Amino acid sequence: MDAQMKKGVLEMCILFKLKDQLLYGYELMKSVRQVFPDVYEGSIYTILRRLNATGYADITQMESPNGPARKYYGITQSGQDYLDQMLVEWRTVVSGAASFGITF
Amino acid sequence: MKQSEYLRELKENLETRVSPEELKDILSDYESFFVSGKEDGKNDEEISKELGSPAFLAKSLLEEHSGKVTVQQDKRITNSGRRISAYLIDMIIAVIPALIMSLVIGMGTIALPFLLFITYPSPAVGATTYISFAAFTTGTASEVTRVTTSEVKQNGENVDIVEKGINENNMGNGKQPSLITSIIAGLSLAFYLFYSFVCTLIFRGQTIGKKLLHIKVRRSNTALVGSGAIFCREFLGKTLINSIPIIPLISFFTILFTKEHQALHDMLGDTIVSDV
Repeated sequence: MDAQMKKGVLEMCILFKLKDQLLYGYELMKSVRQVFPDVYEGSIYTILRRLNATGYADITQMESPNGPARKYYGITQSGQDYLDQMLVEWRTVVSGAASFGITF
Repeated sequence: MKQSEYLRELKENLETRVSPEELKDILSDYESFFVSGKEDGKNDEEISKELGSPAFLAKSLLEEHSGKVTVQQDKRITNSGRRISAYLIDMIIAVIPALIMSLVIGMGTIALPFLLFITYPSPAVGATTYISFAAFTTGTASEVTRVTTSEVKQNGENVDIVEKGINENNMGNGKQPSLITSIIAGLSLAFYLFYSFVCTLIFRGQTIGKKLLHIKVRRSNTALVGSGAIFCREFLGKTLINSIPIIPLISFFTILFTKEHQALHDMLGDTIVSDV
């Protein structure tokens, strides 16, 4: 998949996944990898950091019995707005492609 | 790859390119990923394979960085004026022993250390002149002249008189140097040739001139210079290659106009000169 497109799609999927729950970075990376096995966790991690830096996701630290504190990611209000906007754009793209006859 | 190896490699890839806080944050995240992976019953090898190579991760993180704020690491590259000032000081220091030679012991004239001084950028040129002058005072040169004179004698009487005059002059100037004088001359020449190299080795990147101006030779990634880099820069570059007279001239311009103010010997040793 094209890098830019992959970045955008992954970002959307991750935000969507965070919509109703807090998720630990590792679990999140694992679940994305199950769907997109060719994506490295490093890329997912990079996206998580970016979502946090731009304020679309926030981090809740939770103590872990062994090892350093775990970071749980959750969506923020602005992240929610951004996701809604992305979903609208995504639908436009998919329906646009469909009108060219690209269906699945 | 073991967890410790993975984290170390990641650290090496990111260090000096992201802030220390961020580095700590990333490393702690990855440590927790290893812990979680082990809780899932995976071993270090499997986890590090899933995580992708540390180099890839570092690349991906840094790309992200360059997208927004360009956290250009400040190498504190020294400006050309300061470098050249330090160089001038070192030029003077390098000829001090030769200067003392001519003033105190009276070997040669004051012109000799001055010649060494101006040829310092191409030291072998000065050194060769110095040696040939030293040869003059040993008497070998006078013998050569005497041979020439006798050859000339066969050609014509007039020339002979002139030559004889020159010969006598040479003899007058050239006192037979004692062994000690020769040794001291040799030492001052060695000092001239190797002062910068040895000094940089001893002070790990600094000569006296550089110390006075608070500047230092570093690796181009700002790490401390090792002996190998110093050897390439100081000996191969500045002593040997710079002795081709055009090279220092080119270096002068590359110092002025390249982004990191590198001389050719800096490129050879993969070094930069930066403010302390």
